[in-house]
Amino acid sequence: MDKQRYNIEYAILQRNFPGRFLFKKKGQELSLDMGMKTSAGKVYRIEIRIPRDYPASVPIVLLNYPDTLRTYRGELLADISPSHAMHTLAPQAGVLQLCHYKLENWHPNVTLYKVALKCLIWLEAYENHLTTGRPLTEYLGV
Amino acid sequence: MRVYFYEEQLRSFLRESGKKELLQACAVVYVFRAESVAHFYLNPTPVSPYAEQAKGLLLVSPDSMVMDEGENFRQFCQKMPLGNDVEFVLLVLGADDSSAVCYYRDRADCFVRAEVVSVKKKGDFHSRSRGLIEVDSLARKSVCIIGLGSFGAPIALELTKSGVGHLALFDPDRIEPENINRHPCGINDLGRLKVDAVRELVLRKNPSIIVNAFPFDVNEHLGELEAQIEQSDLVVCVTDEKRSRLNTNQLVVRQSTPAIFSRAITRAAGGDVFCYRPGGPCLACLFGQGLYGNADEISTEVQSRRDAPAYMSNTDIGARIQAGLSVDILPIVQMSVKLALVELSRTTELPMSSLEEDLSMPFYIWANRRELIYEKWLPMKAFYNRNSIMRWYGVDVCKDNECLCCAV
Repeated sequence: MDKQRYNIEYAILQRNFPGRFLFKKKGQELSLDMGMKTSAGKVYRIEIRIPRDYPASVPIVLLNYPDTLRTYRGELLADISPSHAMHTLAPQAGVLQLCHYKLENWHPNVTLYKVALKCLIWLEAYENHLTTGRPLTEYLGV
Repeated sequence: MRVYFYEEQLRSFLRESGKKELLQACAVVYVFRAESVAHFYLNPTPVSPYAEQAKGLLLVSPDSMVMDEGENFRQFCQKMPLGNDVEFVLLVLGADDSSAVCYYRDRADCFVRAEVVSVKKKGDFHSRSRGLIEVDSLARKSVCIIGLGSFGAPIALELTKSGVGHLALFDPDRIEPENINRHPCGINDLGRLKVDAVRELVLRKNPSIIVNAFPFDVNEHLGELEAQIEQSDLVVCVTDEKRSRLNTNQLVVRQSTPAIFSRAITRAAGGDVFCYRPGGPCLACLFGQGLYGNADEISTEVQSRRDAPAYMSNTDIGARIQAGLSVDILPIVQMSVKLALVELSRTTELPMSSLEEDLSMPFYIWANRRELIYEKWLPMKAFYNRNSIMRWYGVDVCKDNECLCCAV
């Protein structure tokens, strides 16, 4: 991500998620850590891994905290992933990976803020799933 | 027998050898015996013809008698034995006069005079295009082509035929059996890198063209791509995936280089061509306007697997492969080449320049069949006032003033 794009992303995140994000750089790898709170008051932490050719490539989103999420029926969500019904992709080193933007819907004018917003919607849907047992596709669509 | 030789090779040899009484040089001759045609090369050929190879000899003599038919040549051969393996002898009269005659050894082992055709200079290949396009100007232009499949390869070929002098070719793939029915390269190229096979293809049309071949995935080599774009007058991006198009878009916007993005949709039911002109809308502007659909043609398993969601089964991945016909790709190729020539020929006052007015839109749509997104179009018949197949539709795309690629 070039400097100009970084500044734009930072400004949008600062406006919408003030104090709840942190860009981290490890070698050449850039990621964004975000704390998220659902309307039920539960706290989660996601990591958005930003590809080197972002925004041409889709970022990877991992759910770092809590380290395990279970389904309504008690299965580990990471164990049944990738799952179309639960909007998850293949786990990365055992860490749950959320499906946010399909490749075909991705374009360079999507910002990290929009990715984060989609993750927040995923978390809200997940909490509803825990109450009703319905798959996330029913809340999020296909 | 008709023998072709390259006058430039001869002149270069004479220049380097200086003025001596008698000069000689070995040559390679490619012979199409059944057609009584031979190609005489003094230098290694960039592309070897698929023909039988024979040994040739160039003799430069100041004695005009040698040039005479029949007895004089036989006497000359007796004085200076040529060797039993020499099949073709090209005789040139002195360094200042490159008029040439050629003898070849027939089945009876006698030297017989052949018809000589000198291929004069690189300009000759494009002499018939003069007046339509600015041939000399195009020879100085450089085009970077990303993707050498059923779009990129014929585009490279057409630009070469039009006289473009420099090409930079990017593609990491090889020619596979399933490519053959849509690709200009044939079965003799199976397994070869597309960049090398297409390089040879264009050199057959213009041996003077300069081609830089990069067997790279541009997504992993953005530095090399950027360096080539910097040296190019135009970029043609015809890959089969979105990521490389978006990366290319980012770089052409940054460097203010015109670019053309072409593709087909599923089964080549149709396709589109987008032309980025610096200052105008970029490819990213197109997405928000609902004009750039997501039904890209999927023609290989690699492509299908790469773009499929992680949860998709192998059966479904296989079912997604729906390649179209070559004949449905070609109209999109043709439009891409015309747009390329317009972009490369701006500011010239030639018949071609009237196309600047005709092809001034940034986006063009084409339908081959009434399927998918064109399903509701009406049959073509004789009407011209409604959407139908087999016609180009220009679309005036607005620049997105909030585009993060080109408006910031």
